Amino acid sequence: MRTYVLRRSLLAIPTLLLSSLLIFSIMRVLPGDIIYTVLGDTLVNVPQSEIEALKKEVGLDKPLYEQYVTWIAAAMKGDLGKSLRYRQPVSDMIASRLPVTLELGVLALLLSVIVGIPVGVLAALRQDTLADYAFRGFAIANLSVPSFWLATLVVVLPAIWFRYTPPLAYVSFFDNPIENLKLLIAPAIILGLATSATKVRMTRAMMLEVMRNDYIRTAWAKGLPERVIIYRHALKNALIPVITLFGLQVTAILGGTVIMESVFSLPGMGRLLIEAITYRDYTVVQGIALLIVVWVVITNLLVDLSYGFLDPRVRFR
Amino acid sequence: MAQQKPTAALPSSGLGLSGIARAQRRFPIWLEPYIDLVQHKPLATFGGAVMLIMLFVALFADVLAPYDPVEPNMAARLRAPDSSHLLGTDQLGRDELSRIIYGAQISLFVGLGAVLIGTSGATIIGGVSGYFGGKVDTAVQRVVDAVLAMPALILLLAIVSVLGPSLLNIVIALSFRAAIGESRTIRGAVIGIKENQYVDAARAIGSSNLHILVHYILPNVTAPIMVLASVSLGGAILAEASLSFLGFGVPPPAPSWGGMLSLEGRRFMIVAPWLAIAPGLSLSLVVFGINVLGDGLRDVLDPRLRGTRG
Repeated sequence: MRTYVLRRSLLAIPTLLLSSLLIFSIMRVLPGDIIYTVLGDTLVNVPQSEIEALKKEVGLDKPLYEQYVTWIAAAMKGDLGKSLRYRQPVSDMIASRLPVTLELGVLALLLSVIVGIPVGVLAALRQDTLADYAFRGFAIANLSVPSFWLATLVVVLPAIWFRYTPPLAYVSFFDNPIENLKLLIAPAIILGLATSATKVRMTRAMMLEVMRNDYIRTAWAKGLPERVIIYRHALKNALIPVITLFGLQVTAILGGTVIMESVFSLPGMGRLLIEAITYRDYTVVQGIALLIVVWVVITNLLVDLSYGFLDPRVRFR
Repeated sequence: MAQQKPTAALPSSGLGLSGIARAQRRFPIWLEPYIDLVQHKPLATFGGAVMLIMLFVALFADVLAPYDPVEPNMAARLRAPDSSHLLGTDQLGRDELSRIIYGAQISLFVGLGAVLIGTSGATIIGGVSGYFGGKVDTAVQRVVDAVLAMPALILLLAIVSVLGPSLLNIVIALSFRAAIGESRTIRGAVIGIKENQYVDAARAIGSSNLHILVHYILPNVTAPIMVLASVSLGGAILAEASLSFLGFGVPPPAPSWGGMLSLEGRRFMIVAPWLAIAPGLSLSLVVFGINVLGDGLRDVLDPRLRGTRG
């Protein structure tokens, strides 16, 4: 097991390095001089000396490989550089926005588990009944309805019917948990439902496969109650591949928060990213992208390691 | 699946056994899974019909659309649906139905473009990685890992922000993501197939790697490729809509379904709720159609699932 953990952890390092290189390359292919784009938006007639000074400050006067190495070395120490637009440290900007995204993401993930797994199990146990068709229809509808449309309807329809508009000012959970949840519950439900769809389908498929196994038949033959067979024997094994989905869904939810935060005007990291892309504040874009990649790689690592614990066959491969 | 019946008397045409089987089929063998789909999978058939209708609408948009989709008409701003504007008009007086019809063109162009380029790329990357294995595979897979570590939407946003928002750049960004993402599934399929004896046999008679990949491996991965393509078509259409919704997609005034729902248009939706309905419904219906068609295709094309009904 130790070699498995070590080997899998080491594999995460090249992925992280390559991802950071990818982010860096995308940002540096920007057509035109980034400095001009940034300054052009905010200042008129900037003297050449100031441009040179800013270039020097953010290190754009150095060769590309040096810029990359400096960026990565600083990032490892938690320094993501300064925002070109706001001249604030990127890490501070992210830190102030992170709690919103984290809360939204965790709520959405929780909801998707609470809905996805039981619905998947029920659909499998009632295979080819009306309930099964209804649950599968629910899942496929969730996959098909774009979450940004659902979110738009959730904002627009109450405004038309009840003249209700959601409060625009964000309240922290620690200041006022009720008001905070009022703000976050709608986006969390929409995001959670969207991600629950794949869980429903996966859980159903795995349950169907596992329930056909000999050991399940033996369990029935022994006269065990249905609940024990389902929970202790079938579900435990059926859920192993579903856990893999977690890694994928953390990635999907991080993408989804960008849309939800934009629609519901939540001051999270996703909206910061959209703003930064709009103003070509590339240090911020780079910083957020790097943080997200680290997050995803660590989640995938944890998922793979938990796989090793849950399924003995994986460790010995 | 239609069963082949043994024939009592062999015709003397020199067809051989497979020739006889072919002569007895009502349809060519490659068409059979699709006939099976139409006969036994109503939901998937519905999905196929939705796709055909969309294709028809996109191809004949010029004839079908009652008005110009981009020309503003301030005299007809924010009209509720009536007989002259079946789906109403938007804040610039443009006919919503015409914009939906032309929007199908954009969705289909982006979707099909991304799927064609992306799936071809994925086939090459996955094929090479899976077939050669070893160091090539490890290197390619690390790059794939690195790209997939970025949430798709964020990667697309980054690429489009760099290339600039245009129809072609969106297709490029989506194709890149699809090529990398799908290559993993194709790699898996290729690894399974290359263990077959007929591949060993081809190698033994001195076939080149390229020959084996094209003539022995590729024909056997067409089923997963078809399924992948159908699934990623829906994903690509949704991704384009999401990008346009966020303002990084097809630039206005082009009538993209996602763009029609964008944040700028939202304040008009409160006085003109019809603007919030039609683009979202079209998008959902098309993606639903593609998803159920993809499910059906997987059932009839995957030999392990053949014979399942639903």
